[in-house]
Amino acid sequence: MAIDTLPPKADTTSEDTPSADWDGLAAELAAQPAADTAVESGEQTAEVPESRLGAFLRSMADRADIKSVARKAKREQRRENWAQFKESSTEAWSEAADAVKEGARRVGGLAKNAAIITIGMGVLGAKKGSEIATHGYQSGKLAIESAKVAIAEAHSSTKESVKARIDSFRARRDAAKERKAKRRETREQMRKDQEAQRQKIQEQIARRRAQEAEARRQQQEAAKAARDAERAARSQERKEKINAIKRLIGAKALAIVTGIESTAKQAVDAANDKKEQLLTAANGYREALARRSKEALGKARDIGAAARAAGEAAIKTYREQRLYQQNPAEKHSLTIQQQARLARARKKERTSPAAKRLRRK
Amino acid sequence: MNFSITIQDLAAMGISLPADTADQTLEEFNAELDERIGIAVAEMLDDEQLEQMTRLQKAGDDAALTQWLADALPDIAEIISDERDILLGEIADRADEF
Repeated sequence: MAIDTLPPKADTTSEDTPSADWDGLAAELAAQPAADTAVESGEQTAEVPESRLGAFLRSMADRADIKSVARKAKREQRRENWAQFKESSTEAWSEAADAVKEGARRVGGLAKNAAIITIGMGVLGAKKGSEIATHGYQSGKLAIESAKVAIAEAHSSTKESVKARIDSFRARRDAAKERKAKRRETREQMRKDQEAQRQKIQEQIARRRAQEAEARRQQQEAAKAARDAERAARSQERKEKINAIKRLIGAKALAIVTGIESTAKQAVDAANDKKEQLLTAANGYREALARRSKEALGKARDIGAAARAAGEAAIKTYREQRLYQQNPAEKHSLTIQQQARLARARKKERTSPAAKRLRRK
Repeated sequence: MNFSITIQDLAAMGISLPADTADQTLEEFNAELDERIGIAVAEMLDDEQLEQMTRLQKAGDDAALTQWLADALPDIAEIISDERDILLGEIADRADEF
């Protein structure tokens, strides 16, 4: 992990920030008390220990303060000279000269003292400055140490802050996972409930369908039973009707057969009568034939043939009627031709001369 | 609500991505997030709902799809937020590798 946001790492080894001159200066200041003492005691300037600082201060005093004092003294001297010159006397000149000398001496002393004082003040200032610098240096060192500590603390704080945030992300992740698992569990439970509900509904539907199917089956069975009963009733009714018809038909058939038999018997009788008549006639015709022409003989033959046909038809009808009497249900088994023949025979029977005779009787 | 993973999220974990790969990495994270959200949403829908959602997606009506999702999954926002938190947690676990 790179912590780019932190300031560049401070060079904590750069303790030379105050520069090496300060160390030298401090060393000089440490050796300074002896010189200070010498200055303060009013000793000659030459007796002040030579140092770069001393030389510098002295040079400055020479160039500034001493010159200023000298100029002042010079102006004073010129004024005094000018005053004494105005008096214009030799004594005055001598005194003036003495005065000038004295003034010069005094000015020199003053200048010297001023220089010494200036130097002393400079030394004191330098000492004070050195102390201030030393103090500043110490303060700087402390500040650097403090900054280093602050940077380290900031670094540590940043690390701790990042760690805290990472822990926060992890905590949120764990909480989110728990919520997700709970959601999934809830959803799963809901699906199970829905599935159970669906199965329950399906079972209810299946039960209802089974009940409906059973009801339909029972209904169908009942309907079938009703139909069977109705069919049986109809069948029974039909049987009864059939039996009634049979009975009716049987009675009718019996009557018919009886009638037929009677008619047939009558027909046979009639045929026999006719035969007898025809035989008689035939005999007569035969006799006549013998006496008369072939034509009469042919006529007799035709009559005989007709009689024979009538007899055969009567016998056939009788048989059919007999057959019908024996099995009336087989009525419909008769062919159309048989039925037609039967009808014709009946009609013929009804319209035959024998039947007419019977009805007349 | 922003459901994307941003550079600020990564910075909060102390992850400083190189400028030339930051966008691509974020894109990969968000693609992974989209996939996880899709799976999570699909898990919460039954077969019939999935078919409806697929039809809406094919129709391309985003508004209708959004409304449908909100109706079908009232906790859709929580689902998405949780997937984002889970992925951020996994990234946080691997923060030292970046």
